[in-house]
Amino acid sequence: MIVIYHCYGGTHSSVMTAAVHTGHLSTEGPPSNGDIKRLPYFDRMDGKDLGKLCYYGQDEKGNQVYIMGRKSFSESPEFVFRSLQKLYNAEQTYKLVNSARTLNWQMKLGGYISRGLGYKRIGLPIVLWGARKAYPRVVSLAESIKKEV
Amino acid sequence: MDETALAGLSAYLHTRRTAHGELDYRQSLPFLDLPEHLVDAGKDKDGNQVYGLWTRADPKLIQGLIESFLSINSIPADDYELRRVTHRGRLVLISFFFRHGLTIFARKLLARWRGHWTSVAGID
Repeated sequence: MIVIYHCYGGTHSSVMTAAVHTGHLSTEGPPSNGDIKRLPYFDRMDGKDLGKLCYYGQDEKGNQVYIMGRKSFSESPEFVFRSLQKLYNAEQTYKLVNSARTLNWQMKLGGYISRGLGYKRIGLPIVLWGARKAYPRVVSLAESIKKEV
Repeated sequence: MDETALAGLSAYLHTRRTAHGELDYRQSLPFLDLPEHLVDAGKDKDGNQVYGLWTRADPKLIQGLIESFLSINSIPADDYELRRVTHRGRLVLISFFFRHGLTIFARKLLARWRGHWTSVAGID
């Protein structure tokens, strides 16, 4: 199965959740700022690749994990994939997960300053503060999806 | 593909399933009232299967999603061609009404401005 985590820019909450799902981040306690900053794609996507899948890794069961940015259109990925699945009668199964539900106000504000306005030096520390606070929710989402797939 | 039902209409016009000028756009083609849908418009004169897909989202996102789906299902790029409906001239206002769910007004304008928008649908 293919698991796709999607959020506004595909660069904060989806990256964190995919990292927990694939074992890049431990489920035990919040990671350090350095660990989060070193994650592939973290605070790097700028919304130009809307809807494009970025491969993140594989989980223990062999499920492939991807991340994706979709702006505020959280329902569209499901609709497009479902329609095309029906059309092509495709065998590949997938699960689309909206990871934006793990966001807190610090991640939203920091993300806007860093990616939206381009002031990374101001925005990134706020995102990291929020990311560490939101970590239990991120772990909980990743674990529940891992159980499902 | 588009963010409005103009994608379905363009697909139908492309395959001549709907001959321009023969329809009363105020009532026909029920799919025009849907905010998101995928319609099968049949085959065009060259034998290509034509579909219209629309959902309320940034057109770049729709294109990205379609390409992503096709790539994870290993469907070769030669097998399909994506075309976006271009909104120019009077279609700008028609698409505005579609986008905001005001399909009654969009349909009325489609009927009223019949001769002014066929060539700008991005398909023909």
